[in-house]
Amino acid sequence: MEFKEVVGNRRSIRYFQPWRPVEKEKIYIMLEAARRASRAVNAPFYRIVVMEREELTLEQRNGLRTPTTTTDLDLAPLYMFWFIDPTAPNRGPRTLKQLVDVGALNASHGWSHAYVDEVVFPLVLEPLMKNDLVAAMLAACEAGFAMTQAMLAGVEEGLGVCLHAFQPEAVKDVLKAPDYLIPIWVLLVGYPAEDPLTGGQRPREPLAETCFWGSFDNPIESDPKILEYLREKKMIQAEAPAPWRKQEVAALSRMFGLPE
Amino acid sequence: MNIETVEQLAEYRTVQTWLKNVHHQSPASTTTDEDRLGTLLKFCSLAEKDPDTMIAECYRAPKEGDEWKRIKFKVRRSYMALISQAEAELYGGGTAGRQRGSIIRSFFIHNGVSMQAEPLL
Repeated sequence: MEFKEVVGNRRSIRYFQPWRPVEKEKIYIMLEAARRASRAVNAPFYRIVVMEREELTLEQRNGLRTPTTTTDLDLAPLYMFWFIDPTAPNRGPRTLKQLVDVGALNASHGWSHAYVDEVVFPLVLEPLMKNDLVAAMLAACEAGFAMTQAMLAGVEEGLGVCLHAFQPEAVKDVLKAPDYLIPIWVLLVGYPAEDPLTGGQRPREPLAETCFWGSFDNPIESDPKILEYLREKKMIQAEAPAPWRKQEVAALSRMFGLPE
Repeated sequence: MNIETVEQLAEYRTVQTWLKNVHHQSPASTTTDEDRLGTLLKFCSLAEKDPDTMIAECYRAPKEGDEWKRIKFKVRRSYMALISQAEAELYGGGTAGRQRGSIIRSFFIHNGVSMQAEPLL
């Protein structure tokens, strides 16, 4: 599948086939995709704990629920718990120098080992980490890139994915996360029980509402030629809902005994 | 509680809200209003409460300045347990019982009280 089609095919899947486990190979593919995401300081801002649903007791699983994370937890066969590491820039002196050594950060742009030791770490990274909010925001943003790559890799492998909030206290004793890590999302993974394309792409606001040229005074309107090209490449697909979507939801509710 | 017929039940505000919302959100549902009302009527008898009272009990009394309604989690849990009990004792258990139980959950959900059931696998 081409990259653009993978982007076009991704949906937040909320009905999984609970009986069908995710193959280990596909889990590894998602983790390796996450590992190759863009990252500031070339440092690891995330940790992931992977777990099959059945590794948790019903009580633990119920404890994970939030007002917005509900039946999804019962249906998804695989959980990936994501944590962020706001202390990751501490690795900067080593990881940045690695980038200097492999020719990624070069003297042409002012980089050297001395610049890392004498300027970047003491004047940029250390002060940044002293501001808990900024450090957490940076880490969350960086981890988000990794999550996105993991999700897209999963979609390309035919899996469904959906990010959810969770109550970390419920699984604190199970996950045994170090105190300096902050729990952020659980990525639910499995084979979709619903149409993987969920009856169309979900609503998005017009491009001009979020993207601007030069200043906020100048919104960027979508280009019809580009839209047509992206339709051909399947990055842009029919908008939800398909005429049969409500029937599908009703059938899924009946099959799983869920409320309508 | 003095509700003897589904017609009387359908007069309640929360029942009207439920039916209106479920028709809007689940137009493809194969459950009929007759099923819905009959199932809820039995549940009201078990709870010995009318539908408006059950929903009202799930919310805290609003305080001055409150912008949002707040759920009473203990009450909601007690209704969740009562629905599970009804599935087994009132609606025949198994898949049929679960389907009936989920009709009651639907009544609560469409009145803003989130209810969950473990999916049938």
